[in-house]
Amino acid sequence: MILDALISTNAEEFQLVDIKITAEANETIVIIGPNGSGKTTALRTIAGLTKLSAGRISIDSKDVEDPERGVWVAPENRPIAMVMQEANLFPHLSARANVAFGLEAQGVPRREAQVRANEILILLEMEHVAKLRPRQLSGGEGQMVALARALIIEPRVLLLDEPFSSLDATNRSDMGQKFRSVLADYSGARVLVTHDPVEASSLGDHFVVIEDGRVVQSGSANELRNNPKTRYVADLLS
Amino acid sequence: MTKQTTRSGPPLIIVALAFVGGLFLIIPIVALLQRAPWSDLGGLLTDKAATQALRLSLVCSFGATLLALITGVPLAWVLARANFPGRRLLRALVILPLILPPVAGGVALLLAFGRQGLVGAPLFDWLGLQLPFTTIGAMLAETFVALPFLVITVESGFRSIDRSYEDAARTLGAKPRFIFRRITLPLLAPSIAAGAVLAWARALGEFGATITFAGSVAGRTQTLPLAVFFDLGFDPDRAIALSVILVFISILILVSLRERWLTPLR
Repeated sequence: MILDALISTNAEEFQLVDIKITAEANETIVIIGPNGSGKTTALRTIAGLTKLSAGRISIDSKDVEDPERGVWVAPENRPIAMVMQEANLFPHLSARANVAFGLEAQGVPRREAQVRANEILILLEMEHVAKLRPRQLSGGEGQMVALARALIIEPRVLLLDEPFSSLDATNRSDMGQKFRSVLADYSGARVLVTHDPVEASSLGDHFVVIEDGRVVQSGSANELRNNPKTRYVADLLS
Repeated sequence: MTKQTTRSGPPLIIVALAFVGGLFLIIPIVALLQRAPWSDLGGLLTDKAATQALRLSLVCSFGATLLALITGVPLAWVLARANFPGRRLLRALVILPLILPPVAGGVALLLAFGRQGLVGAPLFDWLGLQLPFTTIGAMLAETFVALPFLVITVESGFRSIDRSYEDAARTLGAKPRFIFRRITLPLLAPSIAAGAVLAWARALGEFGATITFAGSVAGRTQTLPLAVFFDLGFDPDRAIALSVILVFISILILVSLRERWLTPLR
């Protein structure tokens, strides 16, 4: 098991109580729930951007956070990478420099980082945007660059926060396809936050449904469909 | 291309008042330029007293800007991002010299750094250091009035940076220092540049605090504005020539800040 987390926090506006999230290699966990249920906060705790008030997070059997024992590993030292809702590409850097950023942060020389950034952009069929600034990219291109930027540092856990929410419907299915094929080659664990059931069922292996900061149900799509425990879950997969 | 709209322009009385206001600002500059001794300008500006004042002004204003940058950027950072009791009070106190009449600032500086001052007395007793009536003193007086301009400009720069960029950088494995150097600082650069230019312009024009704290010693503390003031009595041509220099420097500043001031807010 790569990710093993039990999350309680009251550090942000959304309180979370005993959210259990576990993920194996090659597995995509989908955290799904209505707006304001605390999904993004859950992701931020795994990243280390929001602190736990109780519980524990371990990655590859190594604790990165355990408030009871005073363990806290800073975000930059956790083997994770996060793709945020609005892509959040650094506005003053080209797409390629954005992708190279994580490598340079680890001390990889600029030239080499740029070469590897080019390679991953070619892999994602995004080499044509390499020299463009983020504001010159479409929403979909921005998200692919953000994905490249996250994957290049080979995180053990890839955190995806509604990566398609800023795209329109046609772009969405296109991007979903592309995303899926890219993610298939990535061997770490993924945690995807979404409120879109189509996105969830096309990308996810295992679902954790959160309502009001608590897990109301978790399981495979079939388990949820056959035995929905709340109205929201029933509506979700109908 | 003009847009065809049926919106009416401002009423006549408003246009008239605007015209008066505009003229009021423009006429003095025109008067100064038409009275300027253009043919003798070279000679007036190259004599020893003028170059001395100009050099001193540049030394003091750039020195003050440098001091403002070294302390003002960290101050802006703390005010924008640190959470501690009394932060609002500190902010108010830092902004105060912006509103305070510079003469009062000069008196305050004298009481703080003068030979009998709060800090000045021990400085003189222990180190033999004396600030009033020295070039360093003039520089400090300029820093005192210029620093707040830099602080508020850079502080608002810090506040306008979306923190999620820094969050994203952390999740990509970047340490705080690397993030500051590669993300925060570049995003902050326009604010720092604008703040520095504002601070420099304010320092260059400083009069009240300088004359109160540092006096008007030719070659030591008599900067351009002080020279203009004291020349006006017995050598008006030179005073006018030096004023023209200040106008040109101001125009230069305006042009360098055109992005910020000459384009209306969108």
